[in-house]
This record gives sequence, structure tokens and C-alpha cells, in this order.
Amino acid sequence: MVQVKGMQAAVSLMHGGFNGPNRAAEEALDMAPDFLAADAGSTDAGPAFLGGERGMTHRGGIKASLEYILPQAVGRGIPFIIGSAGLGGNRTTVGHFREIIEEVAREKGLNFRLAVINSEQDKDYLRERLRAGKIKPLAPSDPLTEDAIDRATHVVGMMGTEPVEEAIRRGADVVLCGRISDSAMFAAVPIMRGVPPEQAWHMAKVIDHSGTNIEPTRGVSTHVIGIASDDHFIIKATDPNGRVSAHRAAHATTYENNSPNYLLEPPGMLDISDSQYEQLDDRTIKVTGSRFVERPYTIKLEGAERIGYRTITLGGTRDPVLISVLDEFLEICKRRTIDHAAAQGIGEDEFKLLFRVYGRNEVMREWDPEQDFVPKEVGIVADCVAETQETANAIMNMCHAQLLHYNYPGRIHTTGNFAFPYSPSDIECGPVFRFSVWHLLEPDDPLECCDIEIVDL
Amino acid sequence: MAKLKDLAYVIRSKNAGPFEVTLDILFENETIYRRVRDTGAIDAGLFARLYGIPESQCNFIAFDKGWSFKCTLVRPIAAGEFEDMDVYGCQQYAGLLEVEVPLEE
Repeated sequence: MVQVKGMQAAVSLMHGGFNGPNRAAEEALDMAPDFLAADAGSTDAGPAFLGGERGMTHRGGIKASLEYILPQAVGRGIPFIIGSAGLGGNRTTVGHFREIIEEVAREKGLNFRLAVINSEQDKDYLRERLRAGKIKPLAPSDPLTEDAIDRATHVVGMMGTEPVEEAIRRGADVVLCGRISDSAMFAAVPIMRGVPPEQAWHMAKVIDHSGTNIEPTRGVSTHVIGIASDDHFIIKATDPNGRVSAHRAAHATTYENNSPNYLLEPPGMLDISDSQYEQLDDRTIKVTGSRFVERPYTIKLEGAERIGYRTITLGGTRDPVLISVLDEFLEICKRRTIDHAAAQGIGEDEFKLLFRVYGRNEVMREWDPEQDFVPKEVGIVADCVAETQETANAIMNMCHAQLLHYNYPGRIHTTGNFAFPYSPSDIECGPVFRFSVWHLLEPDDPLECCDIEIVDL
Repeated sequence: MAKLKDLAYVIRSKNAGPFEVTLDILFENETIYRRVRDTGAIDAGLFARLYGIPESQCNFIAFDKGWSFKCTLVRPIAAGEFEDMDVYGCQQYAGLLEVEVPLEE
């Protein structure tokens, strides 16, 4: 009977990076996992980290994480997989991670074989696939167009397990991946060692979300280890006093997913509608009954395009008169800003301007069941996105003047309408992106959507 | 009557990709889950009323195995678009907290 053990690496490559040694996870390495994986990516934080040239986590946080984990993984000979480097996993941010890994290897005197797998998609390849009818929209997207391909700053393909398997077959000790399915980085080693896909993919999903969903016991810092087998898998708290509960493991598949029963992965659909979760003891559960239905192989494409550059201003008021006329006031400020800009030769079509009013349904807007109330204090964000940073700055400069000084009817003060917390009040935010590609691509071969480079360090 | 926030142990929202938000109501044990489920108070109609959208747009499921309810909604604005106000989709659950469930608690 085949048996493969895997766990999350004891570091964070997101959420601010390294947050100190994780002794529980370090001790868990004595349970001799067959691989470690660390997810560094997501679309959660929005399109900026896919479309732009910088990842979400600061360099020092990533470096400290790798300084901690690389010697442990390499020293013990455990394959270490990093997925979706930089968050969006585009070519630029994979490059940043590679640079850091090489630096750590040099500084720590580590020798190992590194595989760098990029899944940034070549635009000619995408156009060829589109013309061949091999790219389909993923609901609720519209069909992809060649224009959208041209406009995108980056398009990545979410890899399955095959590129990681290939890299490990070529002797890689550390596998640095661009965009890859969260589960694939945990399923790759089990699958290449003969674990059936239903066990590998389901276990991968549970390990991937163990932090949020298994909820280790209060007061005990624990990790979980997954043990995949022919007809079941086990999830075990690595600490003897840790707890893993069956229903929380079941919750793992609900997180960030629109269906708790079906999960689409590159080679097919994981069906867990009949999975059974059995509590073996306080720290261990056993899962059986999962199914995997093979489908034509698909790679999810994620792409983003730049829509302009942003500048914002923050302010607040607790003046009841202003709050009572706020909507009209903001409308007039917007109008006057547009007119002012026109006087300086900036057309209305060169920028977008909106006001966010915090304290009054900005968080949920029309989804908020409570709509009619008068707040005592509100915060506003004036938000401008323009074709250039210079234009966004100019618009916000004119806008903040209106916000601060426009003399609305009933005004009792003669000074400034908003408390601005900052000097300067305007904050330049840089380039702004939107998700523009969200489609499924059918490759002829799972490996054609990525390139694998092997480097001996 | 009991409030949902006093019956559930997790009430949350989160993006399911940039174009959808999924809302989860999780219960600590099967007994509470079944009692709540059997009142019929938590269904697609509840989400339709709370969020002001047609019931047909509420992809609702009672997930018995996970002792939870899930409802997925298409976001009016995709995550990260210029007008978006919740990039992670993680603050869209507040309306659920005060929902009354016809149970003694």
C-alpha cells in the first residue's frame, strides 16, 4: 500500500512574511514528511499583484522565511514546493523569489537543485489557442478576445501537478512555481508516487486550508500532516495535544469555493459529496469515499490589465449640517472638479472620480439591510484613477480643494469642511489593475503552458 | 427566537474568485445545525431578502456533512475594479448576524 506524507512548510510567504520560528512545525519534521509546500499566492488581494510588477509580501519577510525553512528542507532532503510566488505568480514576481532563493543559498552555503517553473502565458500561444476554440470563459466572464489578450499586462496559467512532478523527476530539491492550483502543490508528490487522484487532491485541499478550517486547539501551536493512501487519507495534528475535528476538515472544502461538494482542478473534478470523515482520536481523522472524475485537461487563465493610476485623499467630518447634505455636497464637488480640470485642459474622459463615504453603507452598499440612518461621523475617501499618475495627482489636488473649501448652503464654519489626517493630504497609489482574463484553456499537453528551468545552486 | 450569531460559530464571507462572494454559516455540532436547518429559516429566500436580489441569483446549499449553510452570490462589482469596496469580499456577512431563527435558546 502506497503512503505519502505531506505538510505545509512552517513559514508564511504571504501575510507579511516570516513571523518567527514555528517550533511545533519544526518538531513535526521528525514525522518525516515526504514533501513540504508553501502557498504564496491567491487572487484574493485583487488584480494588482497579478497585473503589476511587485508581489504583495515585502522582500525581507520572504527572505527571513526562506532563511528559516530552506536549510531545514534541504538539510533533511525533503522536497520543498513554493506555489504562486508573489501572489499573482507572474514572471516578474517569480523572478523576485528566485533572486531571494539564490541569495539565501549563497549566504547560507546551501547546495541544492532548484527548479523554476514559470506559467506566464505567451501571447502568441494564447492567440493560437483562442483561434483554435480552445479557450472558454469561466462564468461569469465573457468570451476572451484578442484585444483583451493584447491589453493584459500579465496572463498566467494555473498549473496542475504535472510540472512539479516533472521538476522533481529531474532531481529538483526545491521547486519554485508561478501560478499553480493551491491544491496541486500539495497533490503533486502523492500523485507521482502512485496515490490515486481522489485521495491526493482531497488531502491537498484539506492541508492547504488547515490553518483556517481545522482550527488547532486553543493554546496549542500545532500543524497538521496529511497521510495519503490508496483508499483513504489521514489528517493528523502534529502536536500530541493538538486537535483535528472531522467536521472542520469537511469545512476546508467550503472555504473560498462556491460549492462544498465539487472542486474543479486541471485534470478533472474532485467530488466529495459522499466523502466520510471519521474521528479516529482527538488529533486524527480519516477520510474515505472521495471521488475524482477525469475531464478534458484545462488550465485556468488569470490575467489583468492596467486601467490607470490612482491618487486618493482621506478626510472625515462630524458636522451634522454637512452630513445632512453630504450627497449633494459631493456631487457638487465632483462637478466643480470636472469643470476646474477642463479649464486646465484635462478632459472628463481622462479620469474617473468617486467618493467613498465610510460610516454610511460603504462596506456593503446596496447589500446592507440597514439603509436609512444618520451617522454622527463619516470618513470619506476621494478616489481618482486617471490615464497617468500626473493627471490623477492634478485631479486630486483640485478635488481636495473643493472638499475642503466649497461653501455649501447652511455652513456654519468658515474654515475647512474635512479633518484631513495627513499632510500632504493626497496620496499617490501608483498603477491600478483589473482582472481581465478569467478563462479555461485546453492544452494539448499539460506541460505546454509552462517552462521549467533547472538551476544547480 | 434566537439570533443566528448566537447559534453559529462562524459566519463569514469571502471571494470565490474575483467575481463571486460566498457566504458561510458554520455550526459547532450536528444537533444545532439540524435544529436550525429544520426550522427552514435559512434558505435562498432569506439571502434574497437580506441582500435585495432575486432568489434565482442565490446559489444556496445546506451542506449536511459540514454542518453548514453556504450561499454564493455574483458580486455587483468584480474584486479590484475601480468602484469595488471589498477586494477580499470578506465583510459582506454582517446582515446575517441579527437574523432571527424560530428556536428557543
